[in-house]
Amino acid sequence: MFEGWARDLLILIPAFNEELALGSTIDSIREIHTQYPILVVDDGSTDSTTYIARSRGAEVLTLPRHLGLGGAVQTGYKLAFEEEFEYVIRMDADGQHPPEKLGELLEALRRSDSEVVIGSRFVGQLWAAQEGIRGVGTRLFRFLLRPILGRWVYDPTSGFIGVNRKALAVFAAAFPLEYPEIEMLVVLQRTTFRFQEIPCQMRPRSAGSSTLTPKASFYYMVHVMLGFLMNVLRVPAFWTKRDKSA
Amino acid sequence: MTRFSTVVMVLGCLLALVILRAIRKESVRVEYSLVWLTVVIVFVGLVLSDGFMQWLAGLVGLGDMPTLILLLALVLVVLVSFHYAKILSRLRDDNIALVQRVAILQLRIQDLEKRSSR
Repeated sequence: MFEGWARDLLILIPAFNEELALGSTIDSIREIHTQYPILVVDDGSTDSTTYIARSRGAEVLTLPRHLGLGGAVQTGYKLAFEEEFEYVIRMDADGQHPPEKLGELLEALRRSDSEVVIGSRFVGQLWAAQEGIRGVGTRLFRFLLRPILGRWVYDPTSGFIGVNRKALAVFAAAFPLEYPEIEMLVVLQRTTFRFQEIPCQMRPRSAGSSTLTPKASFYYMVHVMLGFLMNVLRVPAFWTKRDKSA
Repeated sequence: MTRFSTVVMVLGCLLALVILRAIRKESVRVEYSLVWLTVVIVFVGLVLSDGFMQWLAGLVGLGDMPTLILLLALVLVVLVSFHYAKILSRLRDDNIALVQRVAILQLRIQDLEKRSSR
């Protein structure tokens, strides 16, 4: 497994029924980055996601049951940790995350003292967000996270996330299983990890449609709010002294 | 003993029989049936202790015993349901960890097979 690849950066792509978009996503990454292995975690797809990923030369970890995004990402983190990778950058299978920014995220992980870097669509833009209910969620969580983290996080729902080995060890052991991005930020605060946002221009989906329907978006908000609240109750720094440098 | 108490006792005994039969047929594990058996024993015990139930009914402001028994039944069912919600959550976590481990091991086996066939 990962024979011949340096244990430096692993590109992790969780995928569920992404046969239409995954091929071009892997191709666009490979056009720029040939030196890093790609791991696709197929979250129990019923289409040809696994076949397409393998045919493009990616390593494929096929989950025998559908676990949801957090479960799929955590499986990738577990394997990456066991295989002793230094860094993992997670990208969406639908091609929305720009591969040309991957190097910048990796450099930020290498050079800064942040354990986590986030590719962010809205750095420095307090009121900017996506359209519709997703934008409402982004703004809401931005303001909810402010007092917890002691600083602004402009794109709390971004899935373009890089972690170093220290964060990998924590997330391999415990990771929010559904809609993990926001809860992960609270976990970061609990573990006193640092993060930074790198400005990114995301692309539209290359194919297929998002699983986040209005009904699913509403469930997402309620679910994340509850998980968020539970995580906040576990953050000792929130009740006592906060590390302002974090 | 009132007719209502008798009915509750008979129902309690029937439930205990159903649980014991399920244990014997191994369709329910002993550790999970213990909660229900405890509920039945506590319930029948409460129904039999008429004086205590009258005192308790007065304490919570309920005029008659049947209402108190229904209230207690509701509280016990809610508690037992919550207990099982906790068990289900733990089982789901275990299940997710197992699925993840199976997937990783499967990939490692495929990798070993690929190497050995070279």
